[in-house]
Amino acid sequence: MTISQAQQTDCERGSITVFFVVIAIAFFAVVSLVSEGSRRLGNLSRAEDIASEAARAAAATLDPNSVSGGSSFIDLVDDRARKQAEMIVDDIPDAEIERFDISPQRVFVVVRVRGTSFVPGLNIDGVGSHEAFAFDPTS
Amino acid sequence: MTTELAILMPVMLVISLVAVFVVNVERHGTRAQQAADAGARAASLQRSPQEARQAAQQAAEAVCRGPVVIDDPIVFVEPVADTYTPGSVRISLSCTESFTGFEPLVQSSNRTEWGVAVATIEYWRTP
Repeated sequence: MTISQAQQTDCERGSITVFFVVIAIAFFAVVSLVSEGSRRLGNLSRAEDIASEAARAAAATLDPNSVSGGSSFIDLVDDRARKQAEMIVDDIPDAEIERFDISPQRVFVVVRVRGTSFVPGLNIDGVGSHEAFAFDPTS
Repeated sequence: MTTELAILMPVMLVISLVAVFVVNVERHGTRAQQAADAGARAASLQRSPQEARQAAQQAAEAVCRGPVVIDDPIVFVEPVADTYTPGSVRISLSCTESFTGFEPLVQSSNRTEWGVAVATIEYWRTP
C-alpha cells in the first residue's frame, strides 16, 4: 500500500507543535531551576556572611575579669555573648540562629536564611556557619 | 511544518529572552546585597554614625551600578570598651540600575533592589 505525499503531510501535521511544547516545558523547568538555584546560592552566601558577623560579635564579647587577669575568655555570664550574636542576626529579615556552640575560647554559629521558592517543594533556604575565637586584647 | 516553525520560533526566542531577563534580575538583586554588605563593613570601621554613613555610601556606590540611597538614620550601636562589648552597624539601602534590552518583554527603565547588612564593631574601636 502506498501513501500519497498529501496523506504523509497530514500525518505529520502537529508533530512540530508537540516537539516545541515538550522543549518549552523543559526550557521553563531549566530557567526556573537556574533562577531558584541562584537564589539559593545567594541565601547560602548571606547565611555565611551573617554567621561570620554573629560569631565575631559573640567572640568579641569578653569577660572583663579574665582580661584583667591577663587572659581573654568569652563572657558566658548572662548569655551576654549569645545576645550579641542574636542582636546581629535579628537585624536581618528571614535569618535565624540555628545552632550556637560556645566555650570560653571559641564560638561556633550556624545561621539559616529562609527563602520562599515559587517552585513547589523546592527548598532554597541557605545555611551557613562560622567559627570565631576569643580575641586576646593583651596581644 | 514551515508554518509551524515560523510561528513557534519567535515563541522560543521570547522564552530565551525571559531566561536572560531572570538572570539579570537575580544579578541585580545580588549586587544590591553586596553593596549593603560592603557598606556595612566600611561603616563598621568608622568611629561615629556620620563617618559610618559616609563610608557606607562610598563603599555601596562602588558596587552598585547606579544611585544608592541609604535608609536614614543608620543603626549604629557603639561598642563599650570597659565591658568588652562589641557594637554593630546596620545598613539598609536601595540600589537603582538601568534595565535595558528587553523591549519586547518590558520597557527599558530603572529597576530598584534592596539590601540589608549588619557588621560588628569591635570594642577597641570606641570613639
